[in-house]
Amino acid sequence: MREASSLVLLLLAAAATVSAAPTGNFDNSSLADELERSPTAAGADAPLLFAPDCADPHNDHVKCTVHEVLCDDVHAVPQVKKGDEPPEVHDLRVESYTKANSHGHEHQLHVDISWQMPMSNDSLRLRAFLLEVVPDEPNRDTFCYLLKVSENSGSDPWVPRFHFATTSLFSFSSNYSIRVKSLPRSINHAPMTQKRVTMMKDPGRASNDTNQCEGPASKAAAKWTASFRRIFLNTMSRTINVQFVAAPKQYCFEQYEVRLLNTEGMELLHAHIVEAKDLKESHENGAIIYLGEHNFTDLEYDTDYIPSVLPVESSSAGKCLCPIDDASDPHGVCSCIAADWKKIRLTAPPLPTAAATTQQPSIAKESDSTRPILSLLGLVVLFLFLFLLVFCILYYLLVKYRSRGKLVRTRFVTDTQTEYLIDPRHPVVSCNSSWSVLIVYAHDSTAHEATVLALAEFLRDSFNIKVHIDRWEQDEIESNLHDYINNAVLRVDKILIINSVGAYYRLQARSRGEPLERIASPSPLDRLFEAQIDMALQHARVISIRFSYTPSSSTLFSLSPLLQYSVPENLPLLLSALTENSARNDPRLMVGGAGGYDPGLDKLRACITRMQNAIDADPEWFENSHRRVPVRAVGPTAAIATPPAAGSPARAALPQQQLLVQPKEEPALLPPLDSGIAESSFITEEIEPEPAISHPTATVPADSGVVVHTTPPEDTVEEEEEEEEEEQQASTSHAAAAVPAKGEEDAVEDSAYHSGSHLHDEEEGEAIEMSRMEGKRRGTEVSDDSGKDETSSEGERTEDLSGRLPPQRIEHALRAKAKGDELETGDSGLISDFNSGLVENY
Amino acid sequence: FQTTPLIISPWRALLVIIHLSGAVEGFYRIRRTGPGPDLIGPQECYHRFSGDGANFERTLINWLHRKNTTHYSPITPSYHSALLKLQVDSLRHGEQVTTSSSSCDAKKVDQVSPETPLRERALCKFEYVLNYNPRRIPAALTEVRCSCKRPNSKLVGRKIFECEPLKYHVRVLMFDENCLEYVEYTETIALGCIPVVQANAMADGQEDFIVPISVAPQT
Repeated sequence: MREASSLVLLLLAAAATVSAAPTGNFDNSSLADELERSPTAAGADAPLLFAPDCADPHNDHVKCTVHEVLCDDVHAVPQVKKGDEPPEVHDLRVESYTKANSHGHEHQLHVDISWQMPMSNDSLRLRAFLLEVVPDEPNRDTFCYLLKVSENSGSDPWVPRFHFATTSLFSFSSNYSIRVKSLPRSINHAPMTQKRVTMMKDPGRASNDTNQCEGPASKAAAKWTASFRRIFLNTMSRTINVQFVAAPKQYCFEQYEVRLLNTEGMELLHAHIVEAKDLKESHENGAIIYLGEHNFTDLEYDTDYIPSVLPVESSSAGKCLCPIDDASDPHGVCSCIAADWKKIRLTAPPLPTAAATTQQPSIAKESDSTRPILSLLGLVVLFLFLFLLVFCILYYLLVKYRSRGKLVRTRFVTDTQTEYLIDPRHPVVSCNSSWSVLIVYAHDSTAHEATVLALAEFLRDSFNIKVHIDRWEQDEIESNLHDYINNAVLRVDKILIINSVGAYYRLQARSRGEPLERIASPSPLDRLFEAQIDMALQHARVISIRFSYTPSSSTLFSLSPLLQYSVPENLPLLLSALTENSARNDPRLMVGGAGGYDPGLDKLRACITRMQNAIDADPEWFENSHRRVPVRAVGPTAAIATPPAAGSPARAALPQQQLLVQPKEEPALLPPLDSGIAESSFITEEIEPEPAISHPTATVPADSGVVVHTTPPEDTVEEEEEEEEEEQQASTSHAAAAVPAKGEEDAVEDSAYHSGSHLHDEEEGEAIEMSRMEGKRRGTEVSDDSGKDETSSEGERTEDLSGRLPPQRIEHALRAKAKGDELETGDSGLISDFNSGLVENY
Repeated sequence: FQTTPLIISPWRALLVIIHLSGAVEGFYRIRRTGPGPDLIGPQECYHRFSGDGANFERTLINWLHRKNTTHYSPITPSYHSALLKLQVDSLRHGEQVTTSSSSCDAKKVDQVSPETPLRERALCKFEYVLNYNPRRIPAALTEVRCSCKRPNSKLVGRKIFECEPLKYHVRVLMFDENCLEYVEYTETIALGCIPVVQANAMADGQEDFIVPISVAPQT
């Protein structure tokens, strides 16, 4: 009976399938499959508790199979004579480790018992092993297994190691005696090797007291294996999301290394350290489990990866957390177990092909032939309906307008900007419907000019804005300054007025009658701002800006009600105002952003920075680079000198004709242009009624300076004055021809207004020289007086037009002289009286 | 050596008998070294020497324990020049007696001479340290300590290896604190640092925890 049962057991075990090919490390991955498929000795319902293959994976030519037998069955292998027994096994190992299951709240105890035979000829007698697992608990049964071994030729220099692996045969915290007997045995002797082992405690039930992390690490930590909760394979994004179950707290692991190994599991392809503090806590089935997660990105398609999780064996303090031999020895063997899984792979998504798409209708057709027909019919009907509707509408319109005799009524509308279009400098047909902008600014310094120029270039190049700036239109300025000032304002859509320290002070100085001039590197365009600002302010669309290095206090008073744009901070808003399109998220305005590098913006910023640095280096840069031009009679290029005071000998020396000029009526006061000026002196001063002065027609050399002439508004100009001026042109030209006084010729060179330009007309030059000398002397005398600004309408700035004075200026000076009063500056920045300050000053 | 007939002095025989019987406990603090009877090789001079009595054992003890500035351990690497000279005040447990010229991730040397010491050619860097215990005979032993946890990746690439110490048991005599009594003791020291394959195991789990996220729902 006993033999029959053992035979049945053998047959059943022999029917069990062999697991997958063993790997380098003893692989019991298919153990679960084996346990489910194979019948057991106890019965067909209970699963196997062991791996049926005990052969050495390195020596697979030696076969070995495991069979559960009764422990007292000694007849499984026939006995031999005494002395013919094989030797006892050598190097018996019992290796145990725990595996966390994917749920995390349970652990499995895996035990691998292995041994070798000694390298001797007697080992060739081996036929089988009898493995006995004897629990110490008396109420537990002893398990016996027969490991049948095929014959070994013994020609190999290496000796196979046999394994017995089980996942549930052993229990946590139990003691066992492991005995391995070599068979066949003799009657009196059974070679046996025995070992006593104590299984580790269940990690899931162990204490979670983290204080134990301060002492030596637990040896059980080196036997703990992680598991995977989920592994997401995201094909589209080429990512693999690995979720794993971390160790219980008592193992004191501080980090986990999540890895992707190559197909052999030997090379590290991707790795990431997950800190223990980043683990997520989950409560499941009354237990606390810790979950870690990591996303591997930028992976390759069709490449095998082996996911792996390994606790980091050392703590931050250098303590070994996975001791093997001596937990107290910091330099002993320290090795944790890496939990690996099978190969995974990201499969490249299939590309849609034309064949596939064309096949779909056929497949759909095969499945349902009526549905596409109906849908097609519906489409056709709909199309016909729409066609009919359109046809009816067209027919109706045709009939309707045919009755009227015309189909289409065409009306051409002329463009309102005719002046702009007929300007030969601008094409009639503009390919780019962009805005045109005039930039009005003061020439404060070279750096400021460069900044303004950078802004102009940026607006032009990056935003396709037609920018007008004096620097780019010097030819036009030279040809006709007055026309330029007018046209520049009229032809643009918007005017950009740049507030600056120089602009502020220039207008302030103009109102005081003491204009400013640049000391170093003066520009011929320096005075254009004063000439142009009044006209510019009349434009319907004025935009006030300043650069970041200009204080807000330098904003012109007339512009203070407007929105002030600071460059570069408010560039998007400024561009929005200029282009009337939102430029808030314009990539051209983003530094280093999505728009990339804009050279124009970069240059603008660099110029602003440069100017800022210059200001920081010299806070009084403007005062150091400019000077006030005193009000006095001008030099030889000036035709109008300061009229002598009444009763003075100089006055008596003047020709009578000069004294015949009658002053005009005073025009009404107009508000000043300068901002922030509380002084009312320029307001209270009477404003000389200045006649309209015609524009000089002579060409102006580029470097001859700017002579600011502007046409006063018509309401302030009287035609009678113009007629008088014209009548007296000839007389004044002769009157001015006088021989300069002796000893005063040298004074010509000392004039502050001397610009190096000289008159070509000798007569006028002589007259001017004389009057200049007079004015200079008088200016000296005047300077001794207090509180009186003696400006001479006869004096003129030496920066004139080709050295020739317009007759109107001379006439004005003579008229002023005839008045017999010292002219005072009454410039309030009035547009109508724009010439007064200049003429009087110069 | 000339082959001579086996002659064992009576005194020596008595000691062997006592040693084998293990009956005497406490006088010499003798302890069995392991299960089973001792192996006695009759040809061994240990059994045949009848020489100078107690000086025989004393000579052995002195020879094992003897130290000077350059030779301070009965177990030393063959390339002895690498060991630093020690003074009396340097006799400390854990004292490093060799110094390496490269780090764990040093680049590979272009040329390696065959005469280069193996310590500098090893995949796992290690140093020699002094295992010192004044209550032990021999008091000083040189052992190996691994310097790096992993072999240099510049040498092995991304292979997942570990560096672990290879330990040996050395028989010593261990005294008590007052040096009055001693016992036979086995000291465990590391005599090598070797690259080993990382420990791993198949994780537990079912196939269903692999969740592929496909591009489009499969028809």
